[in-house]
Amino acid sequence: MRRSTSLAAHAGAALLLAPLCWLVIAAFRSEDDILANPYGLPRHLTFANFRELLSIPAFVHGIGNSLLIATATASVVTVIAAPLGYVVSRYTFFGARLLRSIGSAGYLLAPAVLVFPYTDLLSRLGLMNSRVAIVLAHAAFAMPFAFGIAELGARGIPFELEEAAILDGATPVQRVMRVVLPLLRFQLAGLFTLVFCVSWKEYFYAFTIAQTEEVMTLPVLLGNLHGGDALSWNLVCALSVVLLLPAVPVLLLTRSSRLRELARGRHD
Amino acid sequence: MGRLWVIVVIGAMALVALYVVPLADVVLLSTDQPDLGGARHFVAAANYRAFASANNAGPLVATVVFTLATVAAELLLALLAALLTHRQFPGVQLVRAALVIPYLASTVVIVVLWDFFSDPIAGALPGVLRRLGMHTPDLRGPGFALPAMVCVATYEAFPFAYLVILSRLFQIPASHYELASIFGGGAMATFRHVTWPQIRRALGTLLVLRLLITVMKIDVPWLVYASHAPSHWGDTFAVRVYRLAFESLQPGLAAAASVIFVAGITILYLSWLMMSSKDANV
Repeated sequence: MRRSTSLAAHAGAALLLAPLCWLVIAAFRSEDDILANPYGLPRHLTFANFRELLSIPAFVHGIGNSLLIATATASVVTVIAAPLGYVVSRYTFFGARLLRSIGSAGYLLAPAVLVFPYTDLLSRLGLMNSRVAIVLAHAAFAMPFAFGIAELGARGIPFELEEAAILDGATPVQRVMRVVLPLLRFQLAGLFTLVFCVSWKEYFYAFTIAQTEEVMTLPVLLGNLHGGDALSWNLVCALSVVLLLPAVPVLLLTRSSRLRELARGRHD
Repeated sequence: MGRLWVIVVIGAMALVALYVVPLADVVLLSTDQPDLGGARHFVAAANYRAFASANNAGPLVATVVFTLATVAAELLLALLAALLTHRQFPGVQLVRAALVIPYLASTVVIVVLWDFFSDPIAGALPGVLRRLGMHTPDLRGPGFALPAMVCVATYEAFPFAYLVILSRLFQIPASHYELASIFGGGAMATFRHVTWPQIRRALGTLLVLRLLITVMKIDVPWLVYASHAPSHWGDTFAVRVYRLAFESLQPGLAAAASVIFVAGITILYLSWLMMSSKDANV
């Protein structure tokens, strides 16, 4: 039984990954090569598609916008969600339950519902078609699970460690800065990377808020150029691969044994 | 708490700004009729009456079909994959990592893949069907819109369900399985008596969460079909709200539809919460 289940598992994983593997290889092929023999071995591999993308101003804007917006979103969300998650995990205070409920309610307020009050409020504030607006929308999108992850991570730190600091006369702020934060640094890095990825690949808010090329992110660009048949398949695949790039550090992070240890709750 | 209350205040302000203010804006907008100049005229429940009298059967059916089919497919596939990969075998770590990768891909990228693989000339799917001698449907046409959305949404969402079920399977003590094999249980009996009771609750919670998230999904229906559809056939409810707000420029009506949408989902969610806490008490 073991042989057949492991074979089925390998086959299933291969089938699932095959389209993405095809995409990555196609990004390094010319258009003629792809159309002549889509699923066969490539005739030759080249970086020409990426060079051609870099000559398109919209792409250069797009990658700059995506980098800026994703970094800003990850920073804002980590800075707000992490401390809040810690405080809610350690203290009960008036409104703690309400805060937690509002944080989780963000899951129910999906883009489909929030996108158009956001555009309404943003137009009234004069922020439509701006990167700041996209950062705010992405922060709203990522906040619920960042808050949940942060609270979970904080609960994983034994309170005895903070008790020792209290005995030494540390204030709550000192406890956070000197005991909690250093222990949480890998999880915070993981949280930052996850939110970066979520913002990097987000399509719908960016699509609705960005009206001009200067503000568009890469997913919006790919959606516009692909849907309108304005880009040939080799360039579409190359652009898709650029969109897939942040997946690499996330995969490396989750493979790291240090992070797996932390996930199991060991801190040393 | 010392000076940490500053964190609470900042966090509370952020949450209020990001969720409470827009929600309040939608509720207020649902009772207004903005004109083209942007001025809002209070019309009380007129938008709700207009929404109730409009023909919403199409989007409702499309939403229910899309949601149920996607969630069923992703949970079944995730359960199968988790059962196949929670034991140790050579290469299992690689297989587990491979099964998670689609989660890191943008929706647009998966739609690009679907578009190429369903292309009538170059696509792998029509090619395989032709080789098998089967009739090749128009995979890009309206008849295949819902199945296409379900395929893309399942591919995108499957890794998350897989991770949740897999982590729950890891928590089942090995001694349970050893006992089952001592009593001579085969795979099906082991699943029914050992695995299923342990994962039932987690699966139930996962089912409800995925239903909530999928029913409101707009990027997949929009990208796969609605953004270039010749008609509004196949629009889900979320797409209909979007079109009301941004294409027909009826924000009041769109707001009323959003409020009904969120209220309906919240009621269903709270009912499920109440029912599951009753189960826990019994």
